[in-house]
Amino acid sequence: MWFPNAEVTINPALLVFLGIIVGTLGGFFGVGGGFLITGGLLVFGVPPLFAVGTGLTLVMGTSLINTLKHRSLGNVDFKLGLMMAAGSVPALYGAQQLNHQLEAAGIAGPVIRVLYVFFLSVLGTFILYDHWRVQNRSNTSSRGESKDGVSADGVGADGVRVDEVSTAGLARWIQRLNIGPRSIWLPGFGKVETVVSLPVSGVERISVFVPVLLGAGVGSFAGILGAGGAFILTPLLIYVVGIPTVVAIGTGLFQVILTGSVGTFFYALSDRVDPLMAVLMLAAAAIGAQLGTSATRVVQPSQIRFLFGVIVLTGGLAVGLEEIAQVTEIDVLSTVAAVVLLGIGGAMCLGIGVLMIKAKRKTHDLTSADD
Amino acid sequence: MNDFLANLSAESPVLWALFVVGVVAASALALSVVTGLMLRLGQAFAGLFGRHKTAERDDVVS
Repeated sequence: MWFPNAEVTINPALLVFLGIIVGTLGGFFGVGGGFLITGGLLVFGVPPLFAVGTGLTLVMGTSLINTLKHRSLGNVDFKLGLMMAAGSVPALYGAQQLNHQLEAAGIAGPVIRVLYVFFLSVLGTFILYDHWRVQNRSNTSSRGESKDGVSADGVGADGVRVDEVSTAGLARWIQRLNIGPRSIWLPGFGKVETVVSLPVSGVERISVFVPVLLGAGVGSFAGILGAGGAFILTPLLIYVVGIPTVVAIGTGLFQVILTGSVGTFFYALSDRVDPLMAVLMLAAAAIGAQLGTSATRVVQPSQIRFLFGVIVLTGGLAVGLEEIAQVTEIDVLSTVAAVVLLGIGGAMCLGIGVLMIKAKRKTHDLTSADD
Repeated sequence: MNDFLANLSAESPVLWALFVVGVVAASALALSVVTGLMLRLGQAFAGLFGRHKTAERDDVVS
């Protein structure tokens, strides 16, 4: 099939395959999947700038579909999302200006890849470590042992429930933080309290400056890295702000609609988007999104976090291989990187399907036993 | 259509950028509705067959 804007011929079956992977993982993990799409399109022979631009366009579309689905499940905290947008949108603009300067200096590519490898590796390692630690505490508790001071009702010596993430104490401290004045005056709104509650996220009190600063930080990284930023935002919401996993996923996706739209507009402005390719992949991603989002209802949050850690580490490995390929000029490494990413992504989609079937069977067995 | 896409992107970039964002957003909304309906239809069919099976099993028990 001929794509007129990118001026390239690609087998549509390959794009459909990529779309299904991105849609499924996006709905399940609450990420746009920019690092997956760009890598895949590069392997299919799409010119690099078109791969990034079309990738961002697909990120925006899949995030919109997944957010709507998560909204119907009550997983989107719009209040929190809009507060973060107040920080992320201006930060995105600033980051793009910085990107232009890096590009002018000829170091944009290496800086972006090194940042990617660093963040994806640190994040993936931390998520897997946290999963291992929480599992250990949970096992100790279920055996009725008093190791680490975990009581029979599952509460540890630090007062943190064993089924929570290991940073629950930090999250509670962040929620209690008092930053800046207690109220501010906004044109059109008058005097506005700066400490709010977030009922959807189950947060009783939090300073508005926390999500605004978080949004600014994530917007900066997203702008520099050319991604939606959900792969950083979702873990931060879970581990630092203490938002429940499924609400963090839904709210992260809502945020990606905003960052993705801005990115799409700028790339389309410089004619680096192929809408035909994006819409074709979007149709496939819509089907995958139904599977991925529905799976979050039946799969344990700890399993979601574990699989997210694996895909983030895989992303770090793939970008690392790409950087080595650029430095050593061994082109085959670029292909290996994208194949690894797509292979693990495809395998993970199958894994999500299996987990969903298992969970449904378990529910069915329990219902039958009750009858 | 190929000519239209190629010409619009070359002649008016701002209109083209708005067109791309609009088309993708509209497609996403439409696809969301369609796939949601398909899923509900599938669940309705599954429920229908599930009820038949339960009814058959109840008949056997009674």
